[in-house]
Amino acid sequence: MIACWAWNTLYFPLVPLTWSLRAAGHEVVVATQPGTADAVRRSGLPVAVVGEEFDAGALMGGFLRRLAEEEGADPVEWREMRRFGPRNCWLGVAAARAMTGGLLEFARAWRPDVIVYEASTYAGPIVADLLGVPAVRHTYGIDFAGLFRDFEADALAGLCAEFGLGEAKSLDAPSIDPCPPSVQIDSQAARFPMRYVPYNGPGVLPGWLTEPRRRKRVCVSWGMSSGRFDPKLVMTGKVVRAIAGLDVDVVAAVSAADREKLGELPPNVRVVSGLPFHALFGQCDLVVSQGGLGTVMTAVAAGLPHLVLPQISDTMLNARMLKAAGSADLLLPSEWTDDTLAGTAAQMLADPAYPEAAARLRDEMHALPTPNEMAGSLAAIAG
Amino acid sequence: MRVLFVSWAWPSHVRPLVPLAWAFRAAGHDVRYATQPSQLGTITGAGLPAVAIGTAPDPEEAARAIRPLSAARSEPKRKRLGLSVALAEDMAGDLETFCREWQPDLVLYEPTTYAAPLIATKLGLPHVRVLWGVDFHSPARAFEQMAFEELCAKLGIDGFDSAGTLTLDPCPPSLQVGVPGRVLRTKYVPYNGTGTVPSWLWTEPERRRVVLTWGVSTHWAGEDLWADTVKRVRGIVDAVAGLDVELIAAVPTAELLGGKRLPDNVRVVQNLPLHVFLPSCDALISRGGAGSMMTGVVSGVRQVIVPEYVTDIVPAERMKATGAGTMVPDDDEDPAAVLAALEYVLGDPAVADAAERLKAEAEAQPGLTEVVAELVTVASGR
Repeated sequence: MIACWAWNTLYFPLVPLTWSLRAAGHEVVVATQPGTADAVRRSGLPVAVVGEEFDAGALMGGFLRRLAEEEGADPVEWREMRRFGPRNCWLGVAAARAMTGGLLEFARAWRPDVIVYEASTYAGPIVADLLGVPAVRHTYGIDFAGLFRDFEADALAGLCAEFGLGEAKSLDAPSIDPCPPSVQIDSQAARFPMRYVPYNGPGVLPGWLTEPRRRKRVCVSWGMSSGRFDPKLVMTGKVVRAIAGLDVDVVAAVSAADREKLGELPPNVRVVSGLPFHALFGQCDLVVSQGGLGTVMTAVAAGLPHLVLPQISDTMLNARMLKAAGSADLLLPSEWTDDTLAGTAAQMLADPAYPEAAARLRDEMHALPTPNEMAGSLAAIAG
Repeated sequence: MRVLFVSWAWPSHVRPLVPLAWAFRAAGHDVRYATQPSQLGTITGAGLPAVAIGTAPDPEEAARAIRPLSAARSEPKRKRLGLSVALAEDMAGDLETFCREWQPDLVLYEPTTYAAPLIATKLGLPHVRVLWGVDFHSPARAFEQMAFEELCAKLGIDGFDSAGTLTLDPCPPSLQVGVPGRVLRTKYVPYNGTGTVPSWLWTEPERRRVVLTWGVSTHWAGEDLWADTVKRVRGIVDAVAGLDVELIAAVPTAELLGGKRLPDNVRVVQNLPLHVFLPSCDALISRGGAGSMMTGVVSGVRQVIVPEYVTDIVPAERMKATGAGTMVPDDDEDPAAVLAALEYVLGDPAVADAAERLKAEAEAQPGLTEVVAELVTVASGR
């Protein structure tokens, strides 16, 4: 049983291992809240809908507005987030409150042999302990949630008590970790590094993707999550217009709903919706994005340099890690002018050090055991 | 590696390749799945990247090609492989263009998508035929060179072998017929679409559970036969519902069951994939289509095959030979014959044992995750 709370981009990194488990011949079900059931079905996998509706977008949006009022527009550096203590786990705890009862009821009937849980889906380890079933944690890349694992037991004490559980031992489960170790956070926890296989949803691929490109191509995206936190966070239009001033082709990847918000665009901009990044990024020379986990890891898998424009602490962590590896640069919100955006992008396109570092990181990623191999050793990892 | 899957646009042809495409994706390979425009949604619905080639199969021609036995007996014989040739002609041009641009290292195809071995032969690409189950397609090899003579000439190739560089065979050996060419065995991993696990599956069944499915192909098999099919399916439902069982009627549309009120022990299930609920069942009644039969095999259920098309007969005979099921004679359309067959498979413990043995045999084959590594070797020409 794969457990994930209702956030599509947290689910996507779980898909390749889940496919591997199916392809190896295992019976598999993905248990999630209603909001992500469609995303599971679109990945071809059977879904058990458990727990209540959970509007994380609204909760997160409110949280970010309060944080911005207190701390300013630039994101809090991830190291400083530790001062918030167990409160760092608030969203995962809220999701677990809305999910644990339903997940338990389903798991009692379906009787999984092992539970693989997304790193912040705390209902997973709680239910695993209640049923006495082994659990394995699955990260989504650079392990932001892992920064706060020592706070999780405190944050979840109340919920565990409601289910008659003293402590959730499976919170300390080993992690399947689709992240190259050189850009992963330090931690004492057991990790089983796995090759990240990008899954960003399905799509019909257009013919131009296989045609040779005449100029350098830059993809600009604001991911799938920011707009659900707060539409004002999405800066695609501004960034696209700044980058399009360079001698490049720009691919603006936006949700279908955001297409009209882009406004007037220069002729060297192509707007796409629903085109999976794993098929697009191999045909690009640079990606400029908010630095969300799916975009970041898919760019690493493609060996693509990245200009990250972080607005929140987890994308800040992603940006810092990639910059340290040499494949990325970053600009903070207070630095976003047309000149700095275009200038930094131009400099990154001209400097071979970025693609070289990105290729090293990609090679490191590609040398890790694949999801197919990880599926074979899941029993051993689960203990 | 770049790996291209190809099928013409019919759901029961597109779906069997899906788990293997997942296994290639999950091994880190670059995957594309090409089909005609009308079934792109079946591919994206499985989470995979789709590419459109060709136009669309002519639905009337496709429907004529899969006439039920009852109708086929009284109709004149059609040209062999006529539909397959038409489909290959429709797909070949775009497939060649895409292959030249994307340069796949390996091409995989279901047995009736001839454009794939033709273009792969022309371009010198390794190509692997993927069977759906019992290989009832291979006898057609005797007519292929003649049927495709014109298209081969147009493409500038001398001939081709539909069995491919290699054939991947997911059928347990004791159920399979002789398969030509170089063969690699695999586990059968069912994929019959996706869906939500319903709440009735969250509890143990109170009575023995029997599934009746008529597959999805019937839905398109010609409007002139619809009334006959409804009458037949409903007749079987009413006969079987007299037993002390829970009968699950798995149908693409409830209209297939007719308008009358259904008996209380019948549960109608629409668009829920068989692989999700079949493991909770005891017996499966089907026309013997590959997706139904093979999902039944890996679920360890006893099977009653009621052949509907001429292509169903060989698989039905093979199922009977394994002892894990039986078949209703293809000219006996009395629902009582289905009931008698069901009572036999439910009543004789030897059938349950044989179904378990067949399941164990299927499970003992290498998983698709292992097969990927073998196929990479094949593609590298080693």
